[in-house]
Amino acid sequence: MKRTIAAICLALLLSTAANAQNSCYKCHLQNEGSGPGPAHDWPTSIHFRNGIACADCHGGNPRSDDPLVAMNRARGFLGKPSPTQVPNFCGKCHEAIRDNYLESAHAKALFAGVRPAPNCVTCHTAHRQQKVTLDLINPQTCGQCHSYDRAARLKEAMGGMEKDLTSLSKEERRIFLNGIDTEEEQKALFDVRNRVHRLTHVLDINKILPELAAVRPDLNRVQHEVDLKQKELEDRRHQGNILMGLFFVGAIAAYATHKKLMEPHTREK
Amino acid sequence: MPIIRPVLNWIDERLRIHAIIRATLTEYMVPANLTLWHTLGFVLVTCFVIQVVTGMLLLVYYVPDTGRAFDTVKFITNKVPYGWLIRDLHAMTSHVFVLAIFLHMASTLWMRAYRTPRELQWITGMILLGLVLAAGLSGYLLPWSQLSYWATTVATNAAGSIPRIGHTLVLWIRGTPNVSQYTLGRFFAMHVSIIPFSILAVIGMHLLFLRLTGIAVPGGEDKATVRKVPFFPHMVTKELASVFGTLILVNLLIFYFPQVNFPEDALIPANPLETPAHIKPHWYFLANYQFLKIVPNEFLGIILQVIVGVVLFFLPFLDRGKKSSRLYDGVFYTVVTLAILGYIGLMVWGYYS
Repeated sequence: MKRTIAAICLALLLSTAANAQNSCYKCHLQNEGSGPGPAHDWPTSIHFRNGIACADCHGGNPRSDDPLVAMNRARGFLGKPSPTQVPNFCGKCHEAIRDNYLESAHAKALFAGVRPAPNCVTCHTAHRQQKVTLDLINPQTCGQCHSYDRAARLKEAMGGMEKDLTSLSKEERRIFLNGIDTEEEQKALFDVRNRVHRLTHVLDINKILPELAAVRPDLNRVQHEVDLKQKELEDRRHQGNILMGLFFVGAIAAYATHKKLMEPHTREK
Repeated sequence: MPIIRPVLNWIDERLRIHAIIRATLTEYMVPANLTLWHTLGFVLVTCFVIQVVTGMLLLVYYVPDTGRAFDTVKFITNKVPYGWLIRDLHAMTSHVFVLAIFLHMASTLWMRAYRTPRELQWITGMILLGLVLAAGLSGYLLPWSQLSYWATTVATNAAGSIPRIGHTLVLWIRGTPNVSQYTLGRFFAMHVSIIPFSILAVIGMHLLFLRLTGIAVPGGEDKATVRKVPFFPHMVTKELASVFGTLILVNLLIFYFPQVNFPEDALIPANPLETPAHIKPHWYFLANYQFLKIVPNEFLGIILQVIVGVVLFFLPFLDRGKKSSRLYDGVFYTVVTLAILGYIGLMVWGYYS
């Protein structure tokens, strides 16, 4: 817990340092006054904590204090995207998720001109994004536009896989922290997690279930590798316990011999 | 085998091994009332031997190159049969080595065993303490992990606060303005040759002075009248018990508390562009680290620590008050107690800060 808080503090510190040179943040914060607004929201975002700056998404020149230079469209400033531009805006980095989203009913509604139709920021917000878990699928978020029952079925379908992924990640991390290399397992888990998480944007349970079934063998393979390493860790501990037992016997034997040898001298006293 | 005895006799006539064994073991008499504290010297020699042997084995695969160091360490711990044990033994014994030398110095300080005629033993002991800490610091960098890189950056930065020469000093220590291949090369050379050979030489001197002056008799008993026993087997068995106890401690660290030496940042390769969240030195530098943090001026913090070091180094020449004086003893033990408690307090504070 302490480590997490420390990590967040440092990330905030680093990001604050980065944003100190960020004219976008400074000006918008000033313009917003006591808020609310994007600049006020921004420090709570996971993007901010990971050192991503306004210009990374919106373009422009964050080094200039002159609004005409900082927000010069001729020099790549994109400004605020329209609802239909948002998927590509976020998809610059979250490419695979964008592709999945574009296949979904949400995207079809958005591009068919249905209003309101959800894009990325409807669920994830524009400037307060957090690390996502399945809990984002909830009656409040989904209920903004429609009833929750279909979303609940989707959440249930993915819940088991998510639980297994989380528990396997914890096991892998514990082994890693004990000094055993888990680089391959980390990569495999990253891949599986991505394949699963991007399914949350497909929204079609008939597509999701076969995909989850296709991912399962890969997850099982990682589980098998993690189990082997876990066993190795346990074997090491057993060997260590045997060694410690031998040393303990050695210590007792040596001390008993010493006491025995010292007996005549103690009696002399 | 009838041929063995003549061969042994032939060797013994030339090397006088039996005489040496008698003089150093069976006929070497030590006070009978030596305590477990007196076994710490033997524990330290054992730690040094473990470090040398495991260090040599690690050298078989380790490559002191910034591009390969981390991978070679990873290879040792994951691919070489029992490589993990060798590496963990080396790493964890270094902690026990430092702990044992701290306790050895503290017990000597408490028993005031550094006083005439044992000044040189104390001074060689202080030099050994410095060398062991230097071995720890230089060894820290070698795995080229995030922790190695950034802890070395922070530690070597401290020298930069010295006015006028600070920058040059940092450059001299690192070889380049930042911690780099040159720093790794320097630290590697120090860690595997300069420091261990120096430790070996100073241990030799320390033991020689010990033989020349004899062990300080505990409890202030008269050296001439105190009961004595042969070092072997009477005392050696007690020393062995301590050594086994030490090995249990090392094993406990390896198998149950690996994070003492390997927090998460020690398991990630060095990245000079990414500063980890919370870089702290090993526990044995935490008091110094915290002291530098609470003193408003870093240079002043360094100077104060140097003064403490110098006072400790020359303590045998400063503590010349009569042992029988109650007032003097009272002041002495109060100061020592406060100093030890203060040191531990700073260490704990540094850990939680």
